[in-house]
Amino acid sequence: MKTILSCSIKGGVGKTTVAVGLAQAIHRRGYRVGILDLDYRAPCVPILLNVEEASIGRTEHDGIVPLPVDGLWVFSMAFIWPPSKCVQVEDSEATKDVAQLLSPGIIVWPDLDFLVCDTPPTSSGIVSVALETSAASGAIIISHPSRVSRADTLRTLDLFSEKQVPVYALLSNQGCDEEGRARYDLSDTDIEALAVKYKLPLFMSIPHTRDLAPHFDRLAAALLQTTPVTLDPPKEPEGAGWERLIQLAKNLPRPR
Amino acid sequence: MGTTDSASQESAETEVEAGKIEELTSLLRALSTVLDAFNGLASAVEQQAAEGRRCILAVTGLKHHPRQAFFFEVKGYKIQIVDPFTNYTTYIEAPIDSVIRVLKGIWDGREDAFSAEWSRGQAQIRGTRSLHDGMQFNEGFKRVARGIKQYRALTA
Repeated sequence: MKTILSCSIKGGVGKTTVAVGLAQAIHRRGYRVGILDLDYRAPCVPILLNVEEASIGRTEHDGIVPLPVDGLWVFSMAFIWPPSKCVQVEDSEATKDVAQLLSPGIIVWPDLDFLVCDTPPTSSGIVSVALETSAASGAIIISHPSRVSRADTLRTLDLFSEKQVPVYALLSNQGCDEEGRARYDLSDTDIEALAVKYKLPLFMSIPHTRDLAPHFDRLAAALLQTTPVTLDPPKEPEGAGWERLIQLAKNLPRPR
Repeated sequence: MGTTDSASQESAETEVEAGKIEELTSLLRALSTVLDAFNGLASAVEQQAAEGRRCILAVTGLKHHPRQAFFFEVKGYKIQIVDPFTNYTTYIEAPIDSVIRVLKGIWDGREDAFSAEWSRGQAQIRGTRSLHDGMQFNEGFKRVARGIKQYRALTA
């Protein structure tokens, strides 16, 4: 089973939409796919799958049973938490629970080809434990073409570089509308430049549209052909200033 | 603060705690009576689902009451105080106010009585399978609350 993470430490960039859309697209290609909603405090996967109406978590003696939804298998903390309650579980407890969700034998998944995980918008313990516990095959990092989102995308790339979790792709999401009009202060090309800088194997832009299925089909097709890469920490430019300073110091007259 | 002040504060705290414990035990007594009747009505599947489910909720934070923690179990349609024992499947700690809110919620037929307290970070579930165990505990409470709601609807 390959585990794919949908990630960004920035909120509102479309991680959940990408996770669900990608899982559905991979399933359309004939694979058995599960979705694990790791957004512990604000789980939204069930909303996009139209199964949010009830507390439908179910366990058996052996473990937690994922919910079958249109050919996918799904688990979300939304199946436990009462709707509209603010989840105030402390970070240490939440992190412990997320680690359990990713541990073998807690959720009784059927025989899956892919598990797509939606992660919360944070770099705190929950995401760290997800990166460390999931044995992820790779991640998709999602960004908006905006200066604010770009800054968080750099931070996200840094996190993945540090944790040495491989990355499949960088997506520039909802950068323009269906007529090609820009929606943010940067362009898809600005985000693509990050993919080039970090030598990511795949970059894709997804427009702001209601009909996302063809775009996720395109993403799934490309992803299945892609080998994720582990990021090298980007090298800082050699300090020309320091070198000059050292040279100057060498040339200073010695005190007598 | 003088010795007398300190003693009277302690006495007031003891009284408040005793009141809460009394409220807790009467809630449990009331629920036990109703749920004993329910248990006879449980289907074979529901009885089977309860098999091997020994969930304990330890009431924490009691400063003055001689017993620092209560243990009780939810088993099928039953909620009952039990002696402390080690042979359990689930171990949850929660403050007495939180436990009272859960039991009152169940008494009112609210299926989210436990998960609401859990989401507020009040119930601390221990163990390597704590999430699974918490969900099982939640299912037990939901079943009980649903039973009470149905019973109320029938007798209204």
